[in-house]
Amino acid sequence: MKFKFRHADKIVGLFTLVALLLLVIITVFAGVNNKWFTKKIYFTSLFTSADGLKVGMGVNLRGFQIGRVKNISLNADNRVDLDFYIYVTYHDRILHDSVLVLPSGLLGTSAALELYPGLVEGPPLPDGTFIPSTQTVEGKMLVKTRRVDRPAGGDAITDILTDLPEILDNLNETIVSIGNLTSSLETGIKGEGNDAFSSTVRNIEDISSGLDRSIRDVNDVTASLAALAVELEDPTGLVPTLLDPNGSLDTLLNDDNVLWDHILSILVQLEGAMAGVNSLSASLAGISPQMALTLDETIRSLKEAQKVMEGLQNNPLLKRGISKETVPENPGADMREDEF
Amino acid sequence: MTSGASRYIYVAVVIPVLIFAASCSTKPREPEEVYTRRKQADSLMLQGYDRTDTLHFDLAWFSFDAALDIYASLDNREGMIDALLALGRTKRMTGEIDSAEELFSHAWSLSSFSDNPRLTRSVLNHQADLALRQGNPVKAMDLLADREDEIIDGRERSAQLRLKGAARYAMGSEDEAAALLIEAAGVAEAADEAVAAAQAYYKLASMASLGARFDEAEEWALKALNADKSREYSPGIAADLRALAIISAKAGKKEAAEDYYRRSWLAWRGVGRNDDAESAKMELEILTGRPVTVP
Repeated sequence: MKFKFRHADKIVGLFTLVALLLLVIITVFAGVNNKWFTKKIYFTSLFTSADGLKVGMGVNLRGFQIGRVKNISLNADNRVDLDFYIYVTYHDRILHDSVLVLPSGLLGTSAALELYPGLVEGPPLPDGTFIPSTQTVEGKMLVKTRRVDRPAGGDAITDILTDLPEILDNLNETIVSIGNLTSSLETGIKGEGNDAFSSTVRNIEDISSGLDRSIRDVNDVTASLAALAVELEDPTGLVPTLLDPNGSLDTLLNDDNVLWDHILSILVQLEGAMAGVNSLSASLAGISPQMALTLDETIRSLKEAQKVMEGLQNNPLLKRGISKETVPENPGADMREDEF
Repeated sequence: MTSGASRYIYVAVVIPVLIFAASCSTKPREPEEVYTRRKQADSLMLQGYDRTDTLHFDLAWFSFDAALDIYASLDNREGMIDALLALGRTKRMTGEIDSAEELFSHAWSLSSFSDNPRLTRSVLNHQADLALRQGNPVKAMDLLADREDEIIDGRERSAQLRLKGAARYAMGSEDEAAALLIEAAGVAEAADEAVAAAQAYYKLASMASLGARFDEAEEWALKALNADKSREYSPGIAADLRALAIISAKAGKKEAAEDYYRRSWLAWRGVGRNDDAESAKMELEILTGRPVTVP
């Protein structure tokens, strides 16, 4: 017997129609979720390396994705040009002085770029504007001079980790400058080279200002480490709270003060190194390869500090107690100015 | 199936599905919900408070001033009053009393149009503090007198009682002052305002120390320290440690004083108040009779 559907053609047609419908629905959903239909404002930025960057990675503002990376390319100066866009909904946040940051995450770099909006009032930056990254001098200075709205509530560990790479870069630059100065001094003494004396003087000025900046930076880190040391000492302080917000101190206290001692030993090293740097920088006569050695010692201490901080930050237990964004509360009229 | 029927099926199925899909789409949250210009002003206020704590008054002024501009553009009265008070406090601390008075008076004008008694009390507290610093405890007491709509709890109430205590102490009534300060600490603790409680304990410790009651002073200072620690309020912790150092030194407890000075030195450095850190270090060196390095 021949088996036959009476409305086979119609049923097949209906199934095809339903399949097409599903395809349309899925496409619409995907488009909406990926903001294909949202208007975008394009910007450019500059990085020194493409490490950690990839096309399609998000651009976040305080944890909210406000855009994506469109394109990455190596330019003629061997720097990395980055094109990205911001959804028009968030365009009003992209104010003058805004900076793009590639945060460091638990496993190297973060999955998304972070945008720190500028604090300057005014219209948003127009399409096609260049926004510096913190891998450029301009971006670093904007962050350093606090002209950007950097999320508050960062703990001491995060602050130290954020500041250290830049400080290490500056110190390394200073060391290279000292090396160059030494050779240019030799050239000047020998009377070789073009305009050797004036170039040497310029170098000295550059190194002096670079060194002053580095000394200030290292002093800041030393202060942050001191703060961390105090917090470690405080049984209700930041680190114990992070280790266990419920108040158990076992984790911290059972390490026989290893962490505390380690932080203190770094402080001692930094103090010693900085005393050396300060005495050497007191006069220009001190600028010599010996200073480079002293700075190198400082860098080693800072790198050790960085490792300890990374260890602390990478501890999954620390992730539990990160505090929420602080709301400003008027601290009151009187400060503690009483006599004892 | 005729082409007409197919069209009906299409219309009956596709359009409702599209409407459903559109209504269920993941609409991005409105910017105003998550990050507003108010937040920007709030960040500037926080920055200003931090800078005040580290005694960077010029920088603090810029932060508060910028915050005031934003709050004003938003017509945010509460924010404007807080910013004006913060600006006034900055001026008071740099000794520009006339400017401080003027700013507090602006804040008062704004608060008088507000029905918020907390704001009114906050302004009056700042004016009373200024009167106290000018050596006029009687005027301070007038400003601190309970009003008809007086708030009876929270940080501002605690500050009111604390300032009253300070005014009474300045007028020579130490017992009454102590009672008011203990009440201020109680009100603050009940409102979970540990730092405000610590301020009251700190003042009690100061009074006891100046009265040569060192055991009592140490007890109050330790209470202040514990309260500040519970909030990780570093400038408070540093001040408490220094107070404990002075009290211990006065009480002849050299070892304890040395320990407290060392910790206050580190704490001041941590806060970024290098002058205070240097003072603590110098006092420690005088106490021990030898130069000190990082422990």
